[in-house]
Amino acid sequence: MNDLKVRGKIFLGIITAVLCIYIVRLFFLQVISSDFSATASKNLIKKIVLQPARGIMYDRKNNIYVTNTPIFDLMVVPEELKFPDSATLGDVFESTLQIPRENIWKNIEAARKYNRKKPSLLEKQIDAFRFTTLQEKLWEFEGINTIVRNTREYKYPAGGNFLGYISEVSKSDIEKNEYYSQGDLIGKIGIERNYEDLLGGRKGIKSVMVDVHGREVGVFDDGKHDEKPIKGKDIQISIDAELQAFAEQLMVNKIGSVVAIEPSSGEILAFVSAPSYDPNLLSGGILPLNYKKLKQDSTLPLFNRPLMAMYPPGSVFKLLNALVALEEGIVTPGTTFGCAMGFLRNGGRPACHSHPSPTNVSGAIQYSCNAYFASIYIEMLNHSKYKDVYDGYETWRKYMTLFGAGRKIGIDIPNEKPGMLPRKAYYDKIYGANRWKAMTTLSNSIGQGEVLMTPLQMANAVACIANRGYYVQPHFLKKIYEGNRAERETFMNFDTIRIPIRRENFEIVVDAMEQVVLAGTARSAWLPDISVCGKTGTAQNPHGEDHSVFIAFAPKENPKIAIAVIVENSGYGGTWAAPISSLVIEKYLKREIVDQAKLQRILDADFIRKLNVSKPKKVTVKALKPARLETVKTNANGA
Amino acid sequence: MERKAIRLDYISIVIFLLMILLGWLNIYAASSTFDQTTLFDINYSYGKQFIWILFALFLAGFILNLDSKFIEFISYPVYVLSIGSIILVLFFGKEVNGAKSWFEIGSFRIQPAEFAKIGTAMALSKFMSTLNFTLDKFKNRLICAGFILLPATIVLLQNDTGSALVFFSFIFVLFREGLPSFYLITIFYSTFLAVLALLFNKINVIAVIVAVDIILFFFVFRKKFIVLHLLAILYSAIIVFGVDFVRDNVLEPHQRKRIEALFNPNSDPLGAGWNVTQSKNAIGSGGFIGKGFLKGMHTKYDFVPEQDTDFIFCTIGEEHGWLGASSIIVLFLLLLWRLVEVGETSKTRYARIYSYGVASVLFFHIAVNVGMTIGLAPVIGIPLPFFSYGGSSLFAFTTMLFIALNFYANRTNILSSKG
Repeated sequence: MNDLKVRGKIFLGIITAVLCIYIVRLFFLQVISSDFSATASKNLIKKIVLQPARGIMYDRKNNIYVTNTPIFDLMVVPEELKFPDSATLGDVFESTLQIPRENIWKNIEAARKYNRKKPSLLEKQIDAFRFTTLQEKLWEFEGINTIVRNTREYKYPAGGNFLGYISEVSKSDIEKNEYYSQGDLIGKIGIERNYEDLLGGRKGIKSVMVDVHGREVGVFDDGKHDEKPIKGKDIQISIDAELQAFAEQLMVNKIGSVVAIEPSSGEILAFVSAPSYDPNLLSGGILPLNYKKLKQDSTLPLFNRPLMAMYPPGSVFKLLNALVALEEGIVTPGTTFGCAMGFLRNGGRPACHSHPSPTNVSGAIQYSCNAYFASIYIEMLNHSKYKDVYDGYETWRKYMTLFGAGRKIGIDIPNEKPGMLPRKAYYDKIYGANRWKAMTTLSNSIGQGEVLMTPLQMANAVACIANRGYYVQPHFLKKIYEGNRAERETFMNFDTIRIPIRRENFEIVVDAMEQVVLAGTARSAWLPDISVCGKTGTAQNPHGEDHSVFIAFAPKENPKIAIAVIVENSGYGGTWAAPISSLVIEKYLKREIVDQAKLQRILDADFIRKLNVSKPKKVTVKALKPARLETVKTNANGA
Repeated sequence: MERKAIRLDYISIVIFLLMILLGWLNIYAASSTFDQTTLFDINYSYGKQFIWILFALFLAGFILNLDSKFIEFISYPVYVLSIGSIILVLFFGKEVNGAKSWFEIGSFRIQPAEFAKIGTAMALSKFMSTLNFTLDKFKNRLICAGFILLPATIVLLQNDTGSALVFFSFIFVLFREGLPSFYLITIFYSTFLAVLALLFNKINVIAVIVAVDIILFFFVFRKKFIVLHLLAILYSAIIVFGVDFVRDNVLEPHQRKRIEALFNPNSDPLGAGWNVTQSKNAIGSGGFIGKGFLKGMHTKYDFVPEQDTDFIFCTIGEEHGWLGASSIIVLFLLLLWRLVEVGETSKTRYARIYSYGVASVLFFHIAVNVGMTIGLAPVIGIPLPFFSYGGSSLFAFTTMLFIALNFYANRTNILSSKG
């Protein structure tokens, strides 16, 4: 046992030795080495985070669309706070910032309670206008510091729904990515969110020496460890800002969507969710209050309708049905079906209206004949070339998917909805496996029933028709600028898919679409010098009057714009959606409107007032500088 | 139920009381929000610490009054319970600072790893105090290693490397109980070599080792054991050249940076070196007698992170200078001496082994925690016993210490019951 007792002594020896070394080391650090106490007592290193500027967005015409504007956070260090007298302090803040003096005192009191030595927020996100007036008087006070951040400024009061907005990073984002820290601004939805990595840039860091009072006295180590902030990349988006603003103006006092796409490139030209709002309302310090008001508005201005609202496509769906039937050989261009104010084989349903009968496929499109499309749908599903009706249905469904129906088409902003295109299993669930027939799903033939599409999907489908079968992925991002805008650009490449339908079949449908505008249901979409091809839709829905739907493209040869317009609960497609489409097309192609009467009629139309869902209450949004005094467009008089 | 002569170890108890009091005051000083509130404001860390101190005192009294036999009796159950709880926390725990090692109940957090140290010390003592136990048997060494490595591995899986390393301090206990010196020497030698390899040119290090060994071979060992000499040199070479491999492939990036920062704080002065530099600056600025209570400017401006928990020693160093900091170290040294004394004078093997276990764990915590604040150890996040803010560690260390003091207090009872 003696040997082991010695080991106890060895253990004691080791711990004594280590702790004695520590005491000696401390003596060196604290008493002998003047180095540490010198740098330590005089200068402390302080890290300052430098915020990067966010990337700027240009529209397709190279106009600045979204840019940065400084906002200012005021911080107070309670212990250092000095002011002439409390009345002066109250006066200054009340007059320049337009906030009641009680709020200022409340914030100072809260800061005192939280920590007397650290800076706390006194007032956040003050816009440049108010800040400059305050700045002249800030010298009277000590202990109030300013932090400059960048927030967004929108040069066109339009497009809030796809641009998104930036605001303070959430706790969960900070936990997910340690790069972010409290108070940082990041993209929340839309393009700002989707391209956060491009636009956000990279924070920098600066180390400075500060004295005991926290004042900067110099740069640490010649700035060797400093990192400059990297500005976010500038981008060009496909939107035509002027067109966007124009389309939003047309949709004032209406609920619905306008989506316009350049067919050859898939670039989105306009993307309106009505009622719309000025994106400047969601920028800087006024964001939370305005967000709340928009959120509570009964017309749901924050609901991104082109992306998320799912409607029965109605008669516009007939175009796709015609293409499928032609391609599958169910009908030839000459095949005719009769119409007796309805589909006789099903007891007159769906009903139809008065028009020349019988018609071939072109005539059926021109007059939007329900009976014709009911006939070809039944013919197709029951055709002997398919194993059974379900095989026929799945074939039909596959074509529809190729046009983008029933699936997310993968646009480059978040929260897209897939619409609805039932699978066989869906009907099996309702009617029992293999217990349903072609007639059961007859509504699909005319775009009613279970089928639902978003306005984006409708616009995409008509873009495919305009391209005579080329599906180009729709998108917002056009170019990324590396560094200096002139230096290098990265063009975005998006997928193009060929839909397996022959060009001649597209030509038949396109010719019919031209007739729709020239002599069919959409004469209101007619334009001089521009050959518009379109198709009306009148979507029945359980919420009230029919939705007015119109899809179109123009010109007929070498199309430049494809468009889908939906005006909720307003009536026939030809009455509202068609003229709105033609105005947007004309604006885009000619930049000016010839038929001012048509324009005025649209601007005057008000479907929100008619609806009982939203009593037109005046929603004035609090804005803090006069320039920002805006009302939500829903209620602003558009004329 | 006649209890004979309970003799408390008053020195240890006074040191304990002094430490928790000083710890509380320093947490108060380190939390820069002191001027409007009292020491007892439970909205702040020091107020909470006060409540925990009250609990700890109650706990200490409770443990002192337990029957020593009972404590010995529940050794294995406590071990199993603590292993169970650290496994549970692995699945249901809350992640704090990247380590999933906390249970969260309401606003309270408990870190079971702290209590697993007690369980391990108890189980190890129980196993090693069985009749005819000897560490000469290789099988017994393996079982002891198992007792230690099981919790260490689980805690490592929680991503709490610091707490996992603490378990290795039990090597001192094994050493005291007869583990061949070879093990301890190898560990120290390897660590020493690794440090040399990181500091100097590796070829030079090997050359020096070979030269020293040749001298030993010819003059000390008189040309005997040539194979052993060659093996020793081979082992040294593996360590020296293997250091880089371990650093680059086993350690995580932040751990690698901390090791680098230890040897060269300027390599990354604002990253991994930041804590060390700021901490050394804070302590260095304290001078001989310090700036005085609540006068610490580094403390005031919050320049050292985690100042009320892992870096509490900075506050002591800055505000109380060399005198204060050294006094604290001396206090710890006294406590450790007392614990070894308690162990050596105890009449049961269990009590002795347990006391050494407590001393080893405490020593490891102190050496690493103080070492990192003065740039002599890498930054490993483990608390300074009795000083750092936090209920879990305070309760765990109090329990640990007072179990040992219970054995000391009851040692005469055991004598009389045997005699």
